Amino acid sequence: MNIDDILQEFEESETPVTSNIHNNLITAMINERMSPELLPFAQTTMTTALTAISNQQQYLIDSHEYGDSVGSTSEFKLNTMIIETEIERLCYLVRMYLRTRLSKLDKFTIYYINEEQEDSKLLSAEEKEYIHKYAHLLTQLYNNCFLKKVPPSLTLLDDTSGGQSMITTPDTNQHVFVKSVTSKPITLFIDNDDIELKRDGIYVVKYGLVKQYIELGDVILI
Amino acid sequence: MSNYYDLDDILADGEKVPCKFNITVPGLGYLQGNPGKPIEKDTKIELPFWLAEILAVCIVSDESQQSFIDMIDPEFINSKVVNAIKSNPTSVDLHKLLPHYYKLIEKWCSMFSDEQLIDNVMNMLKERSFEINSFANNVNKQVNSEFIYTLDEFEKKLFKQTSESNKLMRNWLKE
Amino acid sequence: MVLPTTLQGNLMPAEINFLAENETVTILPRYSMKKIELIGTPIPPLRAMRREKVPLWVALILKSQDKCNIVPPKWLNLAYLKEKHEEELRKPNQFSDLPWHWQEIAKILLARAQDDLSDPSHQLRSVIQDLREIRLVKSRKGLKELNESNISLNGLSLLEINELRPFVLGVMNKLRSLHETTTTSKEVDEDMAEVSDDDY
Repeated sequence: MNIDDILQEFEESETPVTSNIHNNLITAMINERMSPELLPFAQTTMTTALTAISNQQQYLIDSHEYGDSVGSTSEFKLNTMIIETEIERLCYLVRMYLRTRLSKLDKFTIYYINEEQEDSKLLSAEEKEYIHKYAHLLTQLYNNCFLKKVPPSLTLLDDTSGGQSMITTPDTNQHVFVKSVTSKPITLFIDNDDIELKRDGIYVVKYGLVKQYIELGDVILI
Repeated sequence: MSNYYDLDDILADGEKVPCKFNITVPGLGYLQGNPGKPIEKDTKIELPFWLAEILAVCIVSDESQQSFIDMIDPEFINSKVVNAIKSNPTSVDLHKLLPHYYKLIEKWCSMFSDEQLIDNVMNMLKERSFEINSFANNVNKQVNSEFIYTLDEFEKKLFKQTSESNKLMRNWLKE
Repeated sequence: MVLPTTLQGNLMPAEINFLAENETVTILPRYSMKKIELIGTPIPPLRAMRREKVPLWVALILKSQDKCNIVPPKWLNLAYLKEKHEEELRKPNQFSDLPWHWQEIAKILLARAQDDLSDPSHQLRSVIQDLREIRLVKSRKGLKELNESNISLNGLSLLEINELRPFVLGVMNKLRSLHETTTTSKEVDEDMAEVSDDDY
């Protein structure tokens, strides 16, 4: 192997482990934001982030008590302010992630209720509860407003017979902006063409074509 | 295919297209303005697209191969319009012609595949969207706004989204 | 409570600003400070006049309390940016290589750390404005290439991509649905014939 290759490998493997929570959350949030369909719930990232946040908050409470007894210095105040700001920033990312997922659940309720029965990793436990309650509320509202006055054969909300399905499905053929982060070139086959995704190149392609690469982490949504 | 609850879709479906009845149907005279009388075979009537779609595909009975109606080429794809699209796409008044132009072209071409028409419409979209982009990003309100009144519903939405995004950027830069 | 549909699929400039604040910068502390255990990268113990790398948001807090000076990034100076401007003029079909968050970081530092920058701020602002405009003109010209399957635009920064995104995706999605009618029309005809028979 060339000395340049060895050096490059060494550089790439040196990424610090500690900043991973931040980066993982950001990647999860942006991926969820830009993709037209719901991605599997990032269980590990969320649990790590939430535990870290509550540990940090506990630390703050403890050090406040210590500070009250000793008398707080300005440096102590600065320390706590930086820690609090970081907690706020992480909470913001967590909130955005959850809000994005909820808006997709609201839009494609029936579809994801059906999907969840097949693939239990898609939604978190709280989201499962949310989606069932939301569907129940919505059907109750429709019933009270007009469905109970309509003949029974027309009251279905998930009717798939007839020319058009009533279940709104996410459109996985939508275009998305992607960036390739892996050094090996990826080739996508579209109709009669194929395009090659080079490292650090930015492309706009159909979501369905790159979905598998996003799951692997070779391609990120930007 | 398309969203069941999409309002634009529902509105576009309501557009009337010309149809020709293949059989005589008693009792439907009110569609022509003659209530109580039947509709004779070969009458031409304008029906909303959602109705015409189904009737054009349904077969009358198991023996004949005929469908209830035949759809006739509507005005929005006659040769005059197509020529205008080919020669000067940015001056075609889509709003006056058909407010949901692109949607109806999609519906029409998914029933009757017409590659030529699709090619022409795609080119038109490309050229008009370039103009829309320059209009949306132009802060100066003195610009001739004639073009904006000729946009169809989809183009109007596109224009609004582009100018919103532009406005957000400008506001952020000013902070 | 849920994300408004207008925000889905695109970011706001303020959010991109937030993401830019996670980038690392070098600071020159003026006093010493103990180590801080953060959830992300822990802040190392700071000693006066010894450079350290910290996230931008931390640097801004410290700077506002007068505890440090920020070392401007290598690319944020008049000479480098002017050279990039020349490069943009020389290569009309390509974008020059600028950092992912160059506009945001430049704006933040010009507003909050003016005294730390090596060049006068009004000159920096004007060259940044020029760079932004020429890249904007180039990207708008490139929009003529929109088609229904894919395009590539290397070298743009996140803020610039975000500016174009609603337009690009709107047009490309519409072109795609128009194009799809030519490929799926036969299937739809068969489906509809089958289904309508059922109704009767």
